[in-house]
Amino acid sequence: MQYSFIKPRAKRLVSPEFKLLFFFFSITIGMLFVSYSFLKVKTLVYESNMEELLSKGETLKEGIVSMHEDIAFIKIQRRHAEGIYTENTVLKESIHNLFDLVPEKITLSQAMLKEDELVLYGVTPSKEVYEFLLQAPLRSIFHRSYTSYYAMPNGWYSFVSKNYLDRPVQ
Amino acid sequence: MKLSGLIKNIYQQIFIGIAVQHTSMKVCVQLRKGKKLEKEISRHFEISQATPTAEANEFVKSYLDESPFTYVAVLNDTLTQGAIPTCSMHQAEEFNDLGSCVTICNENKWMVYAEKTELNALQKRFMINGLDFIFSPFFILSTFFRDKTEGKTTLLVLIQDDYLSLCIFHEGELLFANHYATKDAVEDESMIEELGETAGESLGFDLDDEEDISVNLDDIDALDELDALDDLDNLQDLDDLDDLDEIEDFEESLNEAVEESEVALEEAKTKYDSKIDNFSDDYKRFQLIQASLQQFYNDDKYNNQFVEETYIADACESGPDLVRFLEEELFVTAYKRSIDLEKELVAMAIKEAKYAV
Repeated sequence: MQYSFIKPRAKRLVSPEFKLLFFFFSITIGMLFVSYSFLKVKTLVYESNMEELLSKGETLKEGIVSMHEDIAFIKIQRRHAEGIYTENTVLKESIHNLFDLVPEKITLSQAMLKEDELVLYGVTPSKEVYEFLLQAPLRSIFHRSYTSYYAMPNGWYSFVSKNYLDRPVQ
Repeated sequence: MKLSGLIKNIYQQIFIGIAVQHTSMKVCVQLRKGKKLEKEISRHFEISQATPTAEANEFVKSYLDESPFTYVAVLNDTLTQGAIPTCSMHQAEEFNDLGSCVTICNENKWMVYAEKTELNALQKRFMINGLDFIFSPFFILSTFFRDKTEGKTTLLVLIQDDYLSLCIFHEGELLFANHYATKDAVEDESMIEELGETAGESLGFDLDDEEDISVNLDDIDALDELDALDDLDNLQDLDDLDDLDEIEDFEESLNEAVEESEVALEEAKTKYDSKIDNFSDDYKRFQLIQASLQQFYNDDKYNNQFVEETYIADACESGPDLVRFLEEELFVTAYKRSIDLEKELVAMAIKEAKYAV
């Protein structure tokens, strides 16, 4: 029910001055709170990033260790390969030298090259040809050299030459 | 309970009711906490041109500063106001042009109205402290005589020093209403000014003309009471007074007699003036009521209902003549009850404040 020709004025618990003061205080407190929240969030983000980076660092460290191990293994392999390569080269050279050693008059039918051993099978017109032309160089290379001759019907000799290198005792 | 209600109960609520006349203003202040009345103060101020004086404003302001929930209510004293027995604006056109009026509907049965510009002027008069409520005298009347409006056709009259509001109810429904100013403010003001400037001229005699100086004391019945003056005849003849003692005695008795006569004259004048004033005001009010009833009876809109009882809410301590006139001249049973308008305004403001935010 309304009896009055006019509406009552709005009743305010606080004065406009207090309202203004309260407004500015609220703004200040609000700004402080926003700044605090911003810094808090930034700190959290920073901490989270730091943890992530630390874990990444750990992973990388582990990777580095693993890579060092791989590198060491590869180095070993490399050394091994180089050794093989060198040995192969030496062997190749040796074979090449061996075949260079063999004179035209002697025919090799089989050659067995082992680590410290060389076994040659072949045919020589005479024992002297073999001894002068092939035995002499072989003896200069190997420490021990043994040769066996088998007479052939045509007067030639088939021979078996076993040559050994003595490894020095370590 | 709503939050606003809770806050209102915590804070002290102050209701200020102001009943304003042309030259006086009655203020009632009620300090309340919740439903409990803590203090009530009533004050009367002399004002001019129905505008509160600085003292009155200061008095109201002192309470405005006391609580944020202070409500100031004033009775609408504007001339263009009334009540209409319908809430439909379309039907209201039959009674009055309400184009420039503010209207309030009551129980969807009848409505009060007041001129918008006059309400603004009223608010302007109280602009120093501001107003929260402006109540219509018709609402005050219908509330004050709530138990009398439900039955037969009843005339309700609110009489103030300067205004008269009347309405006719039949079985709880308003039939007719009117509001009058019983004193012409402009006339009063000009009369006061004239009295101040040339009292002699306004009273109708010229001091230069000796014949006009005489005042016919026979016309004033109250002056018969000046018997003290007759004692002067009993005094001894001045020629017989030989010694000084006798002269002194004579002087004293003369002074006493003069003083007594002055007091008696003053009393008689006051009594006579107030009686004449009351009589003329009551007669004026009676004439207005008579004219209104004539209008009510003659207008077909009001179904020719006969007013059987009259209830008068008297806010100005008027004399018994009005009741006598009404009973003798209009043949209606009249009852008069005193009303403290400012308190009624406070009571209405309390009701209204429940709906305020």
